[in-house]
Amino acid sequence: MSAARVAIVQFPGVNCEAETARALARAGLETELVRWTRPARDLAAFDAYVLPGGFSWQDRVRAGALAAKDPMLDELAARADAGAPVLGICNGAQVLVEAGLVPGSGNDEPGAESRDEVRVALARNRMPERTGYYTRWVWCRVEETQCVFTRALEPGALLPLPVAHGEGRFASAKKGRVAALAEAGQAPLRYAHADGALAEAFPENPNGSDASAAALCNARGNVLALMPHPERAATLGQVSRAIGGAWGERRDRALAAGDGSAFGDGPGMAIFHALARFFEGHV
Amino acid sequence: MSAAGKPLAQAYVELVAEDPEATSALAIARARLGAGRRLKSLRRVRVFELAGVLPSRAQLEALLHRSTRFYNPAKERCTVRTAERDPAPFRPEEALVLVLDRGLERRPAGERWWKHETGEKVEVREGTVWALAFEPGEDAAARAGELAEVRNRHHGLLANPHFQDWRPGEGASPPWPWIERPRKRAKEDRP
Amino acid sequence: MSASRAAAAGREAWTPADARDPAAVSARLRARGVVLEPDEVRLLTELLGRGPRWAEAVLFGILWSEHCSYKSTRHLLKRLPTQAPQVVIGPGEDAGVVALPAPCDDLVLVLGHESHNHPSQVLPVEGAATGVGGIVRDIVCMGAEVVGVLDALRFGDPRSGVHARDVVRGVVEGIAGYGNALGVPNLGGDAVFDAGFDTNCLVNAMAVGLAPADGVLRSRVPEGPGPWAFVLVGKPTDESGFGGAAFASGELGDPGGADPRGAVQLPDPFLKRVLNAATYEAFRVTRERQLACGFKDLGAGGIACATSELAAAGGCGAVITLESAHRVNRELSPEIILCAETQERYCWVVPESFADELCAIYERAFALGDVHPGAGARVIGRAVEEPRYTVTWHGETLVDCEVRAITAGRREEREAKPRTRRQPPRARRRAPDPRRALLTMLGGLHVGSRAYLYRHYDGDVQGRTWLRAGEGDASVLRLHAERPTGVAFAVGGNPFWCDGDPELGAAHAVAEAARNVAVTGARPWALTDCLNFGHPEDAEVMGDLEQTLAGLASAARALGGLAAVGQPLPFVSGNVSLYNQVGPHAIPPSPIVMCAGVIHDVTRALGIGLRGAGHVLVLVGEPRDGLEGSTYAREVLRERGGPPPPLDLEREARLEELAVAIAEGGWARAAHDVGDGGLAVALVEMMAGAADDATLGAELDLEPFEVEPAVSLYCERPAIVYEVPFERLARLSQAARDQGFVAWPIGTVSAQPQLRVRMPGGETLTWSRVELEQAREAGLRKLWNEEGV
Repeated sequence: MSAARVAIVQFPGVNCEAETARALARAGLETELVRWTRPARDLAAFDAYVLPGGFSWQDRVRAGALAAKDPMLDELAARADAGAPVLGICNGAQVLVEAGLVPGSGNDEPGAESRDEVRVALARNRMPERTGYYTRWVWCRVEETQCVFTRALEPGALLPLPVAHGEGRFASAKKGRVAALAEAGQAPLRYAHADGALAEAFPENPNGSDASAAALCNARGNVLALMPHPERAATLGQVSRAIGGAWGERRDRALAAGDGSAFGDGPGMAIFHALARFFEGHV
Repeated sequence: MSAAGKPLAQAYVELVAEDPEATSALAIARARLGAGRRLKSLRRVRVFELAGVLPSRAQLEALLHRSTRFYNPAKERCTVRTAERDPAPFRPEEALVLVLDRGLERRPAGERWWKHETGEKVEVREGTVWALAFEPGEDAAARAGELAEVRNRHHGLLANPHFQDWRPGEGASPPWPWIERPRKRAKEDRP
Repeated sequence: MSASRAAAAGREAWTPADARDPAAVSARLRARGVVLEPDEVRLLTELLGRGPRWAEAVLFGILWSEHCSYKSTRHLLKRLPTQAPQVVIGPGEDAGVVALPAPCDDLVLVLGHESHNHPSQVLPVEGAATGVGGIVRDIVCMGAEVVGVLDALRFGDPRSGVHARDVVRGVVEGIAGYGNALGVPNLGGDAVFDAGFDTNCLVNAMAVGLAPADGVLRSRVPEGPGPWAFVLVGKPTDESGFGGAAFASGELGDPGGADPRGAVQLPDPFLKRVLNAATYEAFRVTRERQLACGFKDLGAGGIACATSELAAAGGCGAVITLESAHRVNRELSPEIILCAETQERYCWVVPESFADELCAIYERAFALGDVHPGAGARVIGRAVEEPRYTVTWHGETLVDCEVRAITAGRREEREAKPRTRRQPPRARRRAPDPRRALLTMLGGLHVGSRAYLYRHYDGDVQGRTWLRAGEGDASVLRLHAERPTGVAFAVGGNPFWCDGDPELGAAHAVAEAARNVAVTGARPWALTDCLNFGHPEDAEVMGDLEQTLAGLASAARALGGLAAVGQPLPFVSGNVSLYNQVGPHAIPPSPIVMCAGVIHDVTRALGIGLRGAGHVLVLVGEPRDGLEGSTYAREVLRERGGPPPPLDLEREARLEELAVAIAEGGWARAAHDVGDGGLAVALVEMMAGAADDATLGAELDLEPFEVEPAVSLYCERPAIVYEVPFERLARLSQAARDQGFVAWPIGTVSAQPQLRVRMPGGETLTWSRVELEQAREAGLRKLWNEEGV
């Protein structure tokens, strides 16, 4: 079986393509960087798609707003409809949300408009006594879900991941929509405390996101808009030393052992391994 | 006067050099959005609205000039309106779209700075105005409205209604007040 | 472009006859914004053997300015040690290059250090952003990919006025806005607040890059017949750096109605990100095809400085056809196009046969023009054998001189004399309340938490970060995803100490940076520095500078042994920033030093955060003895001035050797340098570094210290605190003894989230973790939010 081929879709200003490629390769996936200067139809040849983090088009107008209009997003929408996995990380998540691929039409609201409708936003962070960009390692709780990228994980498990953004707050003009999506299993990761309780307040919920959502996916579960950066948590030993809990213990034990086990998989690899496993089952 | 009956001022801040943000938005709107095909020019202007006990116009200008919390005089220019009849930096043919981050219009840091400098409690709000000019023969207000609100990949650009509000205006006479306005409940619950 | 303008640039600025009164010529030039001292007017006339053209006057005015030529300090900088076996390229190029040990010996580390002080005071956001942009270009032009930036910031007293606070916010926003968008992790640095910087903040930006060991590019036309083409890439040239009305007036510029757009350099991290990505692709292609190339960034002096220096360094000449350069769609006079400081540009020298392909990388594969209107790549000239530098504009000559005229650096002798130091005022007699004293210090800006600031910075992008700002005494990057090797970075420079004794303060700056690197377990490998001082015409400022260099040199000579036995710790890149002065008061002497270290296995890197209850706290280093120069003396006793603590460099070298041995041996779980605020603050920071959900604290027993409690708690003489599992204590103590130190067990890590200190006599003082954290976090948060200032 040949390895699945993942396109790393890069708009100008996207700057996390290299570490994203490394994390995918670590999971055994073959990657190719597809820059914005290539024709959109080139995307058709790939099995899965990752939109890495950064500042596509310098966040002009609004984070993700301009890239969302690129013909490549029409192609990605078509591939997603055909079942191909699509992962947007941070700015990539903002693009998917602005393009209407996430959450898409959903089982939270039967009879909703077309699949393309923009139904949520990644709004400016809401933080007490701060504005703008904010970085921190946070806890993300795995939820019961059909999402391709997390369904193999134990619901309730906690993943420590770094966030780094100014616009990461899932919000909707329709009251309760994000909570309803979460209820429907479309918020596969939610901000939590170290003890597993959902985090409502800053800084554990670092941006004021509705329903503590750290990620939203479409109803089918193959398109995920993920605000934290799993590719920056690919190695166990690099998990922030401010992180405790089970992952912190595992990290400290590995570091104290001094036997190289700290170079093992970090919490972020779960997302990329899940993608690899998807193809083991399907290709 | 503001909606709450307080004295009001508006400060319009625009980049002196070419604005890459507006340039990119113009290019995308023309190339990708039906309502933007005949968009001729697009400008972006930040607007502050101050409500409360305000000093003279000259003092107001000097205060705004002094703190980079409002604008940077080395790269931006500022036009202050202290009455509805005062000129704003728009052309009469421009249709205006004011975009606000819902619930995040206030600038507490600016308000604190103002209090510190003048001893007065003043409400400071900020938004972004997009000024759109179309080829002759277009219904500018209608097209601007279509470009304002994002519905899907092929419709709308300037405001994402899920966290932003937008309000129209005319270049000849921008609304007074514009940001501080009692909000309509109905708008909140639009899908 | 009108012919009359070209004619203006090509016309004589002065005649040999005028040069007989050089002072008059100098004054006339100054009125037009061209700075050439009277003796420089004479020298330039001699070098050219004729009156220079206007374009030449502008060019040499920039070439010979303090910024480009270090004319007051070049001879002084020779006093710093710059040679060691690991040095590949020392000072002199845009950035220094050092070799790395196996298994990373196929890579080299590229280090640069720049200041952007004055612009950041005037325009904090753009000034600081441009500072980051400039140092990143210096790294890239060595053929390296940029993997980290650091910043050392010196701010005024925030109570001095709103501008001082705007500078803090603006500088942080500028660094964040540029670095985050560029996708380069921020690896920390430091920040100090003092009234001495009220009118002159300091923004020192440092950057780090990685290049293949055989892929380092030099800023010169390569050897061989070529033919070689000069290719200008990046942003279209505009009038940046020529916004001043003085220059625009008169026959050179636009008479009246000067376009104010030139007044500000607008940094563009978005364009830079794409420009760098395209450049990395060009690196890949040129290496793959083994094409000889030269590469240089454009800074002060723009196209003129870059192309002439590329030619001069290659021992050849150049012909630049200036009209081929891409530029903004406005009318610009040729001497502005020649010398403008437009950001985000580089210049390549490549075989002519490759030039079109190179342009296609920038213009097609990366479509620079879509990212920024008018950005792209153009062939703007060629190298010639005769060592003459010629610039033409539509056939008319603007510059024509021998290359050696361009490289003729000038030295200006400045008088130097030692400063008379103020005597420190007598100490307050009444002992302050010891419990409140710690909270006062933590709540002040000097030792409070920096998290409010660095949480604006992306420290994790690129995925290499192993220890982040606030997690270790130095930040650590893992160099390669399949290798254990890492590099560590820390910054040193205490302006209070340098003010008290420039020589000793400078030695401490080197020792502090190197110690912080060693505490994490990395071997101090190379140094960079920036010397930030006042007016060089002031003999006392020059006296401070000379003493500073002596201090830097002596410390660097003593502390290189961990990289190569018996060798100095080399300075590989540096910068001098003078004229940081408004009125009669210069800033405190401010050498700022960065130390880069190498760690063989990043899993051995020690963080500062406490790891487990029951572990022993061990102090190693100089005895707790005296409060000279301490934060406690300044902020609690309210004493100003006075000398820093003494520094025994020979012992310091052994302390650092011990630190690396402890980390490599895996005998400790956490380590922290006793720095600003002394032992008490060090323990508070170790508590703060524990995992967020851990309930860990520290128990400290002062009885064994046998000195006044304030001295044991707040003395700032060099030392390190270790957290040691009991079973490793004997190993660590033996290692300490081997290096001539005593490892003092001073307390334990407790399961109570509090700092508890047993005073001599049995009384205990207790601070809760929450209380300590609130105090540490308050200072910068309040400053930022205009609360209670």
